[in-house]
Amino acid sequence: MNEQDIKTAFEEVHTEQKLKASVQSQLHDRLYGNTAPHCITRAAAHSFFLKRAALFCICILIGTFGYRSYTTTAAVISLDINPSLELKINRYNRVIGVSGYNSAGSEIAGSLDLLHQNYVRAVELLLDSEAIRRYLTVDNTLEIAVASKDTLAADKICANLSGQSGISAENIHTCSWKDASDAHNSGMSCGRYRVLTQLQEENPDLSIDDIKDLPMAELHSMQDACGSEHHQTTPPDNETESGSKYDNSTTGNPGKHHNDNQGGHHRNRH
Amino acid sequence: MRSESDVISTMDTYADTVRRICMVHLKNSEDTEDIFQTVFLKYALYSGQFESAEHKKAWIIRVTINACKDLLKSFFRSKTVPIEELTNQQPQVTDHSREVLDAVLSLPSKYRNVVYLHYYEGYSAAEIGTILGKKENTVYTLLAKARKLLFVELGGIEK
Repeated sequence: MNEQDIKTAFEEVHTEQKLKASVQSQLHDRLYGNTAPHCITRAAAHSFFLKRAALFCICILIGTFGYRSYTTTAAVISLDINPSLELKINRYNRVIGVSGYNSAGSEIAGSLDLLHQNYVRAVELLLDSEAIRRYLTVDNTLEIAVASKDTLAADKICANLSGQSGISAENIHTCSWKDASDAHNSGMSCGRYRVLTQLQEENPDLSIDDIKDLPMAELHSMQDACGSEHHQTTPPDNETESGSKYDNSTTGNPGKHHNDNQGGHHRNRH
Repeated sequence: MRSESDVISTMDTYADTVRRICMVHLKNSEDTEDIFQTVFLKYALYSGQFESAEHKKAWIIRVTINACKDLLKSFFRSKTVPIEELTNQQPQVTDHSREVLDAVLSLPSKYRNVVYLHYYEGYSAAEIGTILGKKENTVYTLLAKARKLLFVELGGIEK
């Protein structure tokens, strides 16, 4: 075999007249014809249909995934003064739900438009609202609890919120996602549930049902009382003045350390 | 946009070139027809000027090869060809030429272009490099390997 054989073999390949005529006709219709409809090959039509169908399916998938992704709660931010309400946050840091856990909380949740706002902005709007401000007094401080499946995300939310005016870092806590779920099953916000479980730890005889309807200010007083009681049972150099409103000595509580085992901080009343 | 007569004249001149490149890459007449449409539609819409007939031919070859590659990469392209379609696709050639073409078409795709461009179109390695966007030395290597494979299939290529 020589190079000429290859040349001759290719030389013998010619375009079928039918193919040329078909392509010329299609180009004429597509580019130069005035009235003829666009004519495309069966393969092109098939491909066109498949492309459209695939594009449609991809759009549906993206839409479904995007909707689910947007509407899935990634974290909750509980705000408790005495009004108790919770913001549901998605993974894009947008508020996708506002729930009130008592009548005052429900009233505030219904009066403000916080949906789809960034959570920092939503908390700002809440704190700026007259509805919230009238509850913030010396005795009633805002307590925030953040719960997320992702503890890093919860910490980040805490860090972002602690930079806001009117929010003290000492009043921001994290709690576990399970505790948040238990709180919701008990019909309360996770922040309030956190305080109640801490009180119960201090005094195991306490039933959550007994105290769950108490105002936050009273729960804080009980916590302070527990703290004082605890100090009484610690060595003499730490002894503090007694006379607390809530005396847990009757419950036989040894006065263990108040411990936020979900990574939170001691509450610091202002 | 170019005139219809220009497009028809160009198609008459270069249709066989496009057909041969399609044969090198594709296996069914629908794909070939799509490539013809793509190439001559691009030509009709191409506003640049060609310096010479050779320049125009090289442009047509490059556009055809790229269109074939795009079609082969297309997710939506049918991967199967009916047997009757395959037999219809085979050009009418002598038995000896059929044997040669079968040997060339049995080469891996990266060798087929260089064999066609070098042995049929007569392009040098440098020119093939320009058309295919490859280095000249790469083209030499591809040609040498293609020669070896054809040697096994057909008993070598004599100059």
